[in-house]
Amino acid sequence: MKVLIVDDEHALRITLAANLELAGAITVEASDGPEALRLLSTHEVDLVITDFQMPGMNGLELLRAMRARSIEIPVIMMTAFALEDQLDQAIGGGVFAVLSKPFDVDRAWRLFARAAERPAVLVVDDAPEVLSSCVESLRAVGVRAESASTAAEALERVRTGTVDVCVLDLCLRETTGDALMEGLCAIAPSLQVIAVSGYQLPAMVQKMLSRGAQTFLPKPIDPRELVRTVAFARSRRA
Amino acid sequence: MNHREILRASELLLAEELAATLRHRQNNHIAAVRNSAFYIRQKVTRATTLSSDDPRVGAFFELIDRELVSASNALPAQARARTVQAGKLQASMVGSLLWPLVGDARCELRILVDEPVQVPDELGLAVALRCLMANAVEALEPAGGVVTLSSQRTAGGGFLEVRNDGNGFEPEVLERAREPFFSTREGHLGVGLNVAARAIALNGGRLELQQEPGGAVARLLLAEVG
Repeated sequence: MKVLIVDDEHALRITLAANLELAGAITVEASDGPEALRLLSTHEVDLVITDFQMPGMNGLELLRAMRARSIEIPVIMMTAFALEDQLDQAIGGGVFAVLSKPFDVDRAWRLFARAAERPAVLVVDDAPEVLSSCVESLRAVGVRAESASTAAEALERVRTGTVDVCVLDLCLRETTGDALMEGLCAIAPSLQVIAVSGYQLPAMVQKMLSRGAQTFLPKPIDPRELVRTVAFARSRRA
Repeated sequence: MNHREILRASELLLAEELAATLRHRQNNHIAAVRNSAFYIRQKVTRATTLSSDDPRVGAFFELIDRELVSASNALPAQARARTVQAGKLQASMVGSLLWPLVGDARCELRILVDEPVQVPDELGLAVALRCLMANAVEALEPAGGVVTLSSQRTAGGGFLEVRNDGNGFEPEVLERAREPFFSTREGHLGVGLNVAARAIALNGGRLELQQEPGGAVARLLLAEVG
């Protein structure tokens, strides 16, 4: 795994790089956004880990600049928490996950390894217009997304092992959301499920949340909220 | 909106800004130390028998980690107990409300443009303007001068602006003005601009500082409220 670490704090950068190298990664370091963009044009990397608050170009601006250059590499945003609401924008801007400083290196490593594999978000819904709008809003910010309109298709996709988050409609024609969730989680126990529905079904929502669904999103789904919820689900698993 | 509410909101925003600044600095230091300890622990475990010879080695590495986690949680993650209320701010209204709090007998307040600007957080922005007006008055000390207020709608939203006709920012001061705890004046904490920047950033806008012919300009730029 080749990782680009971007942070203006030298001490943080070198100590994180040391730990990643110890775990077997190859690291490249940049002290600011412009240097990161220069390195990205000459280096092949699997993952970018960047600080959020940096002088000049912040982490969100770096992410946007990358996407504007069609660089689709996953980005993990580190934060020591200063301006929480700006961070919220970054999360809605398509980061893979957010990592609070200081972090547990072991757990962070698992998050990095998973991000570098570029797993996809699977959207399961039998309404074609909902399906395509969800997938499009994720792809628009560089988040890898796939769609499934039937339970069989969803199970098949999860079986490939390249899906880590599932956006699941509670009311499918042929099955219920909680039954399908059970099937999906049996194949991939670490799958993060985000339940969605146009109806408030308290019993069903409760049932799914109690079985480990991350969260519930009511329809119509706000695109930014969807992007944020996916990033939070991935961050929580770290 | 009255003086009491503005002063209370000022206190809250100041406390929030101080906590956020300290938390940010502290967490960066703690993260580097935690990463270093983790690295050394791995090396010690792999390359030596230190950990197995003496259980305290492992226990102390655990202790370092635990203590660092506690230290990083010492400051609250977020203090947002304030209720936010949207409204319209206008230079003349802001001036008559805030000038008694920051004004000086040697200074004169003038209104340049006086359009109502829609803001998502009336009180927060009043606090930000109070900081900017206080800075403008202080910049004119000791001789005094003119402080100008404007509120103007634009295509993308609007802005609220405070000018003073003093000597303006020295280039190196302008560069460092946004640093927390930076002040050119004795007895000042140097976080006024940070509080203003925080209040406007929380509302999706930004603070602009400029040196223009005729003095210093501080502008709160607001995006249109959807």
